[in-house]
Amino acid sequence: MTSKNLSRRRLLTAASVGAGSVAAMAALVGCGEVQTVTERVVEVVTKEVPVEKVVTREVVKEVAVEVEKVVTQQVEVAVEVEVEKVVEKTVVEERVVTKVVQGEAMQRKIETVTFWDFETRALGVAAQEAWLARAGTHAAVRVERLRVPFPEMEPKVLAGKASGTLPDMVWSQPDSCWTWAAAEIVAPLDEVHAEIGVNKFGNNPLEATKLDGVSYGVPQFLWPHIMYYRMDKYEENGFDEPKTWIDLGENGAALNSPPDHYGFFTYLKDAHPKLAWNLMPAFDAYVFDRDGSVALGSQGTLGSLILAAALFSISPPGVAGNDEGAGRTAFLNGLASHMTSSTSFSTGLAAAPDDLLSKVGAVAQPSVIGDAAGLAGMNILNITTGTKHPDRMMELFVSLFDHEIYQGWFISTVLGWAPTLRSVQEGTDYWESARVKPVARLVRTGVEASNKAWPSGAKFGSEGASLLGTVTARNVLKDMFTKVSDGGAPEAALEDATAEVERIVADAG
Amino acid sequence: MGVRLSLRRREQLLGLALIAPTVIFIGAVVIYPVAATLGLSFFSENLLRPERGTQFIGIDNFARIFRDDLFWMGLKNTVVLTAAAVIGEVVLGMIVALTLNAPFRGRGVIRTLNILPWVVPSFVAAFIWIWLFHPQFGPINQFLVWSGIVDQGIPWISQGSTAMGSVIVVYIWKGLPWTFLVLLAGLQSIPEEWYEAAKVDGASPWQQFRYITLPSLRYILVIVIVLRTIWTFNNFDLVYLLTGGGPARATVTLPLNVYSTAFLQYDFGLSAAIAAFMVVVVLGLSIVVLKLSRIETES
Repeated sequence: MTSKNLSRRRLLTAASVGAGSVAAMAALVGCGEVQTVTERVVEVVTKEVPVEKVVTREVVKEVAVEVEKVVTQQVEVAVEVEVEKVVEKTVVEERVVTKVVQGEAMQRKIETVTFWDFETRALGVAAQEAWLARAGTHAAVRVERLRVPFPEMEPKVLAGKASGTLPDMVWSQPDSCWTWAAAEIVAPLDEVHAEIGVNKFGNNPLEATKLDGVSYGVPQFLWPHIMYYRMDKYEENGFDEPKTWIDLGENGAALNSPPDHYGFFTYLKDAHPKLAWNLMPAFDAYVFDRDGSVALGSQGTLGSLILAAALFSISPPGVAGNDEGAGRTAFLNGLASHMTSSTSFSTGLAAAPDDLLSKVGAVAQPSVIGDAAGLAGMNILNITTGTKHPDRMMELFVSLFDHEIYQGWFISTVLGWAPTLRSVQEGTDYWESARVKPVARLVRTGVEASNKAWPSGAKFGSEGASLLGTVTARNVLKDMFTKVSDGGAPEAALEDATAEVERIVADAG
Repeated sequence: MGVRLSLRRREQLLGLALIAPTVIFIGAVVIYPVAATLGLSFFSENLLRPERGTQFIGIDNFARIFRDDLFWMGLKNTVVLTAAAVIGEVVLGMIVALTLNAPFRGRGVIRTLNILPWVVPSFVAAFIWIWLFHPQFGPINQFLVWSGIVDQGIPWISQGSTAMGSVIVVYIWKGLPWTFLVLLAGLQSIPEEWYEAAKVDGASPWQQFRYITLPSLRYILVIVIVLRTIWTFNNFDLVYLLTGGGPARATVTLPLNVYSTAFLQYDFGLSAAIAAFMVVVVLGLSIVVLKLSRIETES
């Protein structure tokens, strides 16, 4: 169902309720004395609004008449031959399309809804505001955006819940989406998905918004972690495209030549343990099972630690002190042959000198046990339980994820994000757009990766979601991998981490 | 008809009116927050568990922190960091103060330069040292690799064996100027005649230091040691910016524990219990300072 249909239906419902109320009032007050009844009439307003510029291509058929001279036996005969010639003419013109906007959106009072947003990049902010404004027109809402720095979002949201000052909508990422869903901060959105169309998103991104089978958000955009590698070094050494972790490990070891060049760049300093979230899913290893029981101490986790130990041995020293940003810098400077990073690294690669972009390849991270692999970075839009405009928010969300509106936003926003809407992923307009085309193969790899990537080291379930925040805050996973990077035995590191997670569960009661 | 007050009563009221703003201010910004934190330590208050609300749980939070490895690791690291940093600052501060107390050309410039680490904001200091310690690009490691001492850079602040030592170095670097300045001021208050008399009596430089300088600086040294201990014990920003408590908790301290428990785990009750423990420790140190200053005044 489209947003227009939805709006119309709502308007009719509202109108019938309003008319009923007027009639009821008239009946009540009409007993006995004469009363004046004021009836509110909604007028249909027609307004002409210039909305877009359109560039058209025209094919013009031209008919030409040519005269040929044919000489036969010294007799000149003039023959007229009619030739149809197709002249392809490309006309580029700008024209203002006047669109008549009428109906429910124009008739309704514009409601202001609030949005806590942690986007800071100028391009991202501008594109997002335009996207929200465009969708807001359809839903008759004005989105008031409040920028909240990323590290402050979680405490602000929790404080907002405690004080009853939550906004109408927020941005989250899978782990915070689950935590907030468990804490009843974000509202269930299955109804919104039914309006948008459940098949509009890939299964994995949609699953990442779910807690106990109910979706609490709409996948907004992806930034899956993919494996970047130096294609030029692969070609020099005659390596094929890596397909397994064995390929990656062997190629990395072959290219490792410290201190000038390293086979891999691994990092552990980020607030979120990205290395754990990249490697553990590849071994089908998670912190909690669906029922909230501790699943960390598995052979899969041990496998991921053993693989990590191998990668640490061919990484620059100081793994625990390096973050993803340092890894990107190192990779751009040719210090390492491989690194995992999100698709947003495309921006840096596209801007790098010496045509570095053409020398870099990317593949989805391989799985070892099961089908999953890699960290599924994703941003999610949520409606909070504190919204005062649930119906309008629903309409807004339906409009935001309308193909045209979403694609219009996505073409102009931060380079390197991958779209979540299947229709955009499968179409050509986005990939062929001028900005995206140079990095399209990297972003496409991200889309492919998103189909098997996992949001973080937890399986879903409200118990696990609540406890995962504590596990992350206490750096349990990060410390587990750090101990291995410091030369510790994987078995001992896993044992310590499992014991701590079990203590966390016990303390939580 | 107005009430007539005695002069004494009026003076009492005037006195109360004059100190009232100060009392109210201190009550609002010091006593209330500390009392509220101490009170909160007896309640369960977890923002991630809003359904549980706020409940009085007695000493459960204290029981929890005392059986938490992270708390004991934090306490151990805090004590090690504080002891090592304060000893280092006082010993080096004394050496620098004695050196810069002697007259020589350019003394003023060197004294001024010596204060630089103190005036540099903590976050700048942290980033300077992160760069100095960097395994690939840091000058310390570049020198070590260049001179052939090591094959590749040492991750000073990101490996367990060297992280705490590196953090202590930065704390000493940052705290040294204040210690040096206070000790220098103390040295300048010692009468020169005492040293001249000692020289006439044949006292060696060590004996002059042992029997004149140290006893004269005794009170100042106690104040320096206690204040630096309190400040280092409570310090959050420098270690947070340098290592964030890592790698694998090698540098986690109690203030970091309080922060992560409150603002990453959102368990305010538990965090308040750790903070209350710290308040008791710091209060104990403050009482020591007050007692010592009273003894000194009486003597």
